[in-house]
Amino acid sequence: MEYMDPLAKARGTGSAHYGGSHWWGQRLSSVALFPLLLWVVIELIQIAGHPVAEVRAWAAQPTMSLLLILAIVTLFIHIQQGIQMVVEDYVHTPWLEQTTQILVRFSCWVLAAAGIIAILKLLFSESQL
Amino acid sequence: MALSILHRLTGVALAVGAVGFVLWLWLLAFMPGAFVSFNELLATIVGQLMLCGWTFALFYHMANGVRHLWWDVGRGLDNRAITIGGVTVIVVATVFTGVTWFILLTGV
Repeated sequence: MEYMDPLAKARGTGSAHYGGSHWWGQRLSSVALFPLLLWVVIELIQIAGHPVAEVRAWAAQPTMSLLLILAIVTLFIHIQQGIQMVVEDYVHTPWLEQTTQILVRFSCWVLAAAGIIAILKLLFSESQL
Repeated sequence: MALSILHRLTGVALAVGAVGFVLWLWLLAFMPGAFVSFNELLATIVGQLMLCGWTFALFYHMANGVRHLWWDVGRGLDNRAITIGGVTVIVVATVFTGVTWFILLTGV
């Protein structure tokens, strides 16, 4: 959804010439995370302290796998957006800021991928399906 | 003002926790032995305190996040609403953290 006035967009006004979609994306990831993380926390409370085999079986359930993957992807999108704001506020050396932002984004990709792979591994090795 | 910086601090703390969560999942999937050791670490006093802090960070960040979304649609921007909202967020976060840990520690 575009919020920028077409003329302003054409002129590229505003110091960053860009930002509306970041703002909206952050709201979307926040809204999505609210139910996802609440659900994850409730599930974690129930599975806490159980033996390893049970935790593996729990994570391998189709609905849990779906929930965990959705939660992890949305979480790292949200984290990247949030950390981006922190870096923007505190790092002002241009090359350092750019590098940090890129590293943060890459790290979020790596972590999200690791989470997904772990969940899929559990899904395919533990599931009866 | 303090709540504002707390929103940022809890966000960063949660991000660190998210790394731990991925690590937990990775160990669960690929290194069950190490997973058990990791859980034993979490079961120590220090581990439990960290988890408790992380729980509060989560509920605070969530509650204050809702408050932010509320502001985004233009509601509650007068001084009185801001104060009430701030207190509500702290109370909600504390209560949710308390309930969560009561359940965890008593096995209800």
